[in-house]
Amino acid sequence: MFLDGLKQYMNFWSIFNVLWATQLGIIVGMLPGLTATMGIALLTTLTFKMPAADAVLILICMYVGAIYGGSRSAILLNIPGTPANAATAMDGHPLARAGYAGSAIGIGTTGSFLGSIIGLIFLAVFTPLIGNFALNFQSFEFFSLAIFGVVISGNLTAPKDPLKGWISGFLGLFVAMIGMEGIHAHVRFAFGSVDLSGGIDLIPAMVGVFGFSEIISVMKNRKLEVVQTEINRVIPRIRDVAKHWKTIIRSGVIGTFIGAIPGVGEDIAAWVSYDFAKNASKEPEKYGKGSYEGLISAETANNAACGGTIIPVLSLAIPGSAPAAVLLAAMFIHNVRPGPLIMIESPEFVYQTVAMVFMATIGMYILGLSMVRWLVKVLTVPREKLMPIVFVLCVIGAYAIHSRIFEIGVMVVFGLIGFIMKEMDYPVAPMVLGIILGDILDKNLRRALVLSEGNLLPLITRPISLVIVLLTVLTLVSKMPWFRTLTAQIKQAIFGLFKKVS
Amino acid sequence: MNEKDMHKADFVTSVVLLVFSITVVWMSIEMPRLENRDINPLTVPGIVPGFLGVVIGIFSLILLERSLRHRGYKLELNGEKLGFFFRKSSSLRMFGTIGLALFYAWGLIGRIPYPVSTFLFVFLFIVLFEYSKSDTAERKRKKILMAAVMAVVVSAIVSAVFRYLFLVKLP
Repeated sequence: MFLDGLKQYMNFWSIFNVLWATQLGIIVGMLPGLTATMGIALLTTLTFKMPAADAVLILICMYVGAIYGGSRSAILLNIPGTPANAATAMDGHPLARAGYAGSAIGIGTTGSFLGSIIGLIFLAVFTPLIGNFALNFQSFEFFSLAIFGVVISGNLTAPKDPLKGWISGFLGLFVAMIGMEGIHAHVRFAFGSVDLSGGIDLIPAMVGVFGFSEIISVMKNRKLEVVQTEINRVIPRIRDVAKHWKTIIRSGVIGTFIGAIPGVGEDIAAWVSYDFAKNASKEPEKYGKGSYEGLISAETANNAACGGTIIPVLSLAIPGSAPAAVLLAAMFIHNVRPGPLIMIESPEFVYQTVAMVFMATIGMYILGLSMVRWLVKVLTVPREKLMPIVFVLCVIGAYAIHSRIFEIGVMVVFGLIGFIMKEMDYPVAPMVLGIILGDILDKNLRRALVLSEGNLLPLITRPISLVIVLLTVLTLVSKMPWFRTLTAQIKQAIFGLFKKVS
Repeated sequence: MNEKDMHKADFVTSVVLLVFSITVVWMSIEMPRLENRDINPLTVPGIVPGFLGVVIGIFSLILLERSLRHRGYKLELNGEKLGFFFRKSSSLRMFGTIGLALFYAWGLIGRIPYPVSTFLFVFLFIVLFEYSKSDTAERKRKKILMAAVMAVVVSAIVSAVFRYLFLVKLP
């Protein structure tokens, strides 16, 4: 079925779309301030009149390209082009400073390529499995899954202060309550506004949160300087890549797994993978000073996460990251209905998506290893000239889908909210996830209450729901000091027992 | 933001969130129960927002308690500190960006033709942020000319692409 999906895209226009969209993605990813999420959101507005198959292909190419492209600025500027490339900068930039910019780009590109391939294998294997399993989900399971989604997303995107992540997630759930609700068509929190009664559309909100707020941040911060270095050989030697095979496989699996967790995303995937690689490394002292192993671990994981984030998008209609959230919204715009029923209604779409990720991966690798010296010039475009253009696109992009000036206001307001949240260390990804999950939460809680006649016990008597509730509780308490002390004491008691025995 | 300032910011945020959550809970309780439509009382529209309001309220109380423990209530705001904040170049750039963006999105769009408003925004943005006192008169003239050219090009391309390629009725 994958080959059938692939055949559909083996024509001139599809390949042309793959090339330009992936190249545009690489450029968007490279430029600090332009993120994958913003790129996909803006491109959604440009492709919404295209057939679904072409539009989703273009968006996936933008996604894969942007997540990879951010490694360029991470290596050359020490500023990650997208948050997903923050771990890349740790070793990529020291390598560039030492005069190995070309080989760092080459190794990073190969890591991204292999990570993306691992991610798409998992995507092909696990989406049908999870989709079929999710057919057992009923209202209580969907309600607990929605709560678990924002809680785990809050936990992992704000590791220092998960409380702020949870607040962000629940605020997002609240935003989804604005407008006409889906059961009795009653308008909530609209204060008489006709525009608000239609609800807050995800795309303008996301363009604001990830676009306008980034523009303000970029303009506020200091100017960036590109490392003046000769870019030497870019295409890596096979042996230079092969010696990291263990790191590549480990990072690919970690990246995919973390990507598949709702609302967590590519940046966390890269950091966790980097941490695992450092702990397992024979040369941990080189990490942060220019380790190819560290670089490849981060780049493999963030691109593997692209495939991972699409698994819950297709099987549960729950995004694994912010860019995947826009992808999900774009699929809905194009009348593709992801979710548990996808394996019954349109199983071929799952394999078409795998084929799309494959095409994007190939495009990314070819484009990533070519035109390197030429593309570096893009990084020298001054922010004073670039940012007004980005804002013009944010405005027209927010407006274009429904042709409503109100959406421009939504974009601006959410941009300001996103900027304030970032300044105060509130992650914005859980809020976006909350906006998506709000409708699922609302309908399923009320349906569940009707089915159980107001009894909440099925939350813990139904096995799948019980597991999700336990995971949610564990996620909530895992960050509390008393829980950490308790687990440390248990660990000590268990290991102490073994020591005594030995 | 340093840790001390963050506790102050958390104090203010927690109070705002607490007021917000109380308002949401109150509005949810006051929301129509739709008895006239004979709906199941377990599906009333206010039930989920009310639940979310309670959860946000609990989180904001935890945040408030934590900021109080770290003396976040001592805001120590005075004219000197505020003056320093508003004079910082990063603050000026931030407010400049927000001001121009709001002027474009809410002041120009929909009031004058889209290509003109876009030209004005791009031109003003580049000129204001590229302005430097130390530039010679010749260099200043060159910068203004470049900004005008760029604004015309951006405005024309974006307007044409959205109007004729994507068939969007421009605002």
